[in-house]
Amino acid sequence: MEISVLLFTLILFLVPLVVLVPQKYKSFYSFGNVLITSFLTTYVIITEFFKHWYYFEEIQRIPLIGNIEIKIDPLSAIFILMINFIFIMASLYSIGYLKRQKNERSLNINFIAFNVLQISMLIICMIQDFMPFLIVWEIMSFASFLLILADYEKKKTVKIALNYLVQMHVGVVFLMMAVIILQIETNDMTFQSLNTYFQSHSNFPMFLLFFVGFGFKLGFLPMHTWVGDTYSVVPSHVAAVMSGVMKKLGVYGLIRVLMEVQSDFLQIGLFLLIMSMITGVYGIISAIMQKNIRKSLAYSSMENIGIIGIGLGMGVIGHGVGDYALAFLGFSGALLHVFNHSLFKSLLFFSAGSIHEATGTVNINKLGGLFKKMKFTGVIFLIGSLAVCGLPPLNGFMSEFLLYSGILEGMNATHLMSEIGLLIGLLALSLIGGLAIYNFTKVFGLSFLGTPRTEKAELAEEVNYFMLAPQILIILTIFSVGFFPKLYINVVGKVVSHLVHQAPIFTIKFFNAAENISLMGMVFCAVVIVIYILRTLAVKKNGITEGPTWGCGYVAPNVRMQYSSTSYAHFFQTLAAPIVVAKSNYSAIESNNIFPKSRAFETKIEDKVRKNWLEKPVQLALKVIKKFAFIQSGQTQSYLVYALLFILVLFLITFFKLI
Amino acid sequence: MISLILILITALLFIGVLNRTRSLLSGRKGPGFLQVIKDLFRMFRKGSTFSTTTSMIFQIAPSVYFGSIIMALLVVPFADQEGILSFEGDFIFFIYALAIGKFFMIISALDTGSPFEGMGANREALYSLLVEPAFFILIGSFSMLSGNTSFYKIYQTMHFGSYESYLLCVVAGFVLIQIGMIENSRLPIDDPKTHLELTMVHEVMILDNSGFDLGLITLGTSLKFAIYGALVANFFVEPPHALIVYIQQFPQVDFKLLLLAIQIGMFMGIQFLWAVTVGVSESFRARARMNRNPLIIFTLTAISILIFFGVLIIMKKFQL
Repeated sequence: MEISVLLFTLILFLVPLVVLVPQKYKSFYSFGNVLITSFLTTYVIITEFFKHWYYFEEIQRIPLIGNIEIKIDPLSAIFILMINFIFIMASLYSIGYLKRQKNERSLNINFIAFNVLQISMLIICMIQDFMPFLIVWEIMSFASFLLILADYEKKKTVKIALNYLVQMHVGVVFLMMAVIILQIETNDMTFQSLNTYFQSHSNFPMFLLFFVGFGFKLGFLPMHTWVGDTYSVVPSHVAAVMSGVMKKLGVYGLIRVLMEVQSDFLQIGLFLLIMSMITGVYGIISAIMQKNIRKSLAYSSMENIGIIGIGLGMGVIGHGVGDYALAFLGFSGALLHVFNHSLFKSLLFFSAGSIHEATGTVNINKLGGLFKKMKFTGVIFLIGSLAVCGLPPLNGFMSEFLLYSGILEGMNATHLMSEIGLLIGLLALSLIGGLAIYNFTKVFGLSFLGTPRTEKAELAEEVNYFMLAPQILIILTIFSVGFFPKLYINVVGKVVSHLVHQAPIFTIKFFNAAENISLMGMVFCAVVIVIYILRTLAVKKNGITEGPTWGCGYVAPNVRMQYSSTSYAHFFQTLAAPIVVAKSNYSAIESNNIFPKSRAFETKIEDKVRKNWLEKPVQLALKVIKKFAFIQSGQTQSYLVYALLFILVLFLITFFKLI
Repeated sequence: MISLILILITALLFIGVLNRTRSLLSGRKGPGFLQVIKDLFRMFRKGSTFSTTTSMIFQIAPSVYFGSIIMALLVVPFADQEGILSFEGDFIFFIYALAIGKFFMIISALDTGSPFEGMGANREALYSLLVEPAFFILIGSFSMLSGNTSFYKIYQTMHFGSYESYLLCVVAGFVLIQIGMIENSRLPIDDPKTHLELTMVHEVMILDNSGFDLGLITLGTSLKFAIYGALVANFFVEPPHALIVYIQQFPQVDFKLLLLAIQIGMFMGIQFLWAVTVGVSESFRARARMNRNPLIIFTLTAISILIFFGVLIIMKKFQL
């Protein structure tokens, strides 16, 4: 079956037809398209691929580019399955989420872009040639740009979307540079040519180009400036897809490159490790400072990219020093974390969307007490938070455990540089783990617990079943990773066996540890349940009284006296001062103000890197460019003069044989 | 199994010894030795008061907290004997199990909607989470030295280690004691004697818990104390070589049993010593200023990194 042809047909004919569908059924139509696409690709993987772990096909019908190889190997397979799963869930969620959206044009664009995004992502995972890869990569960026524009009537959204598009393009420029060098040196642009290039040239500079290129999508530190704003304006189902799987294609690209790397392992590994550490710690610190749930989640994605990067770095270092156990645990930990993160981050974005649906805001300082009003969403968000913090028995712990044991394994038998690198990794992982708990207790505790801070939060109601169903399905998957890790580790091990020698041995070795962890998780659940039952019986027997919260002697407590997100983060802010800029807008009461009027107080968190590295240079550049603004006078006459001058200069240069 | 029983016993007596030391040093008559146990029994029999603001989270949090400590307890070994559950990388599980308890206690404090409890939760969260890197690097260094990643095997190798490694054990013991103090909210991070809510950390976080739940939390905290004591004690419960030689002269005595008895004695002795040390240091020490606490915690991480380099030196890895 030629799936690629079918996919193209789907884009050309089926997807745009959503315009003709009546508004009520558009979301169902789009869901249908997602299902068909997913079925096509998943079917191939299940029938053809699992027989010999390999699927290959060549199409020759595209005139400009020539032949394109399409191949599904285990790495593509795991990403394809992940994309399909998250897309089906997101599409299901959008049926409920977009119910109230009335703007038909916005809906049309949204659904078309959504389906195109999925298909382009799937194709990216199959293509084996850089030229079409970059073209489809651009289509993907553009589709996601259109999805960000869902709310295009707002000026802010348009600005953010343009910022995103520009940054994605800068990333592609770096990729293009890498590919052009490849073409010049090897006369070929397939992934195999990368291998030949790496065999005869220095590896690190080439890797750096790819790293920066993919880093824009992944949001590694200086390239992360689009992350926070973008996720705060996109619709939740799109945010889930973008953060859950689209970002991960950057990881896919990096692994593809790492697969071919031939030397410079230690430099590349240490570089990756240190960049990831900085990114992870920076991400989680910025996440803590945010009061917008979506922004906080977006920065937390950055933190998770850091964790994944640490895994990849470990893997490469393991290659460099010949410690295959380290390499295996690093790569498989990173891959498993990619999968896990796509589950819990999309889950959290879905529930953030539910909060938005129910209350109209995602500002933590305006929420509170939602747990009683939205039981399901509350439990879902709690489980998502526990998973993202990497707490047992949920899935996040499984991948972090792999990474930790990889680090400890690698420390045993390697040489000094790698050991210090691994120490940095250990430091980063544990610090990130701790701060993640700090962050998610804040997000969950302050938005779901306590007393509602505004009327909107007070009147919140549970969202509809279309929105809940995908979240429950994702939770089941999360638990299945936590309790039955063998299946997942097996698949991940198959992928890593392309990267590391003797992977099957390590896979089997790690099965035991994974089983222990899941067993401990089950014991933990059992212990808690037993204690809880005993406790409930005892409490009932001893008698219960109810009353207001103890106010420490204060008798007129007020809803606004509760700890807010800003005050929760305030203490931390003093620690994070070198990294985060916190501004407050407030005019103090002066001594001659006898009857002070009502006044406002506003705090604003700014991204220091963004401010100093992006905004300031852009401002400077603008200043210089503005000096030349007089050239653009708007009069046709002067433009004609320019053209004349240009021709004159050209004539003079050629006349004096300067060129 | 032995570790479980021993830790349970020490947990019940620990706070009593500590309080007794403090009252003796400050010249008070003070509460009796068994007052803690009596308090616990009273709390378990008392009725509960729940705030109307609270939700389900507030009800389950103490159970999860206690359960998480039990889980952490299960992997702690005794001397060179395994804990009840022991596997490669169990100390990672140990830390994360404790973390899940912390997570629930923090959100249960936020559940009450009280500004004081929010404040306490915030502080406790920050302190106990910032201390995690110190613990990871400490145990990570020892796992590097011993070539193993489970508590039990790390201790086992340490007992047959060289004198240099014993030197590291002393520094590690110091760091572990400090970590224990921070994790259990004692001086210099938090003063359990304080009476003003604004200056509390742990006490104010559990302000609204009462009855059985409060009993669970109190028992859990003393268990945690004893667990850290056990981690420290395990470094040193190896009986001196001369003593072992001396025992082996008497063939009629069951060697293993006697060794075990000596080890248990040493364990209890060290735990007792620790409680007295904590009591003494708390009597003569003032709490640190609140904003200096992170500095103290980061210092611990720095010391752990020194231990890491110490291990590198012992393993002679500084040859590029």
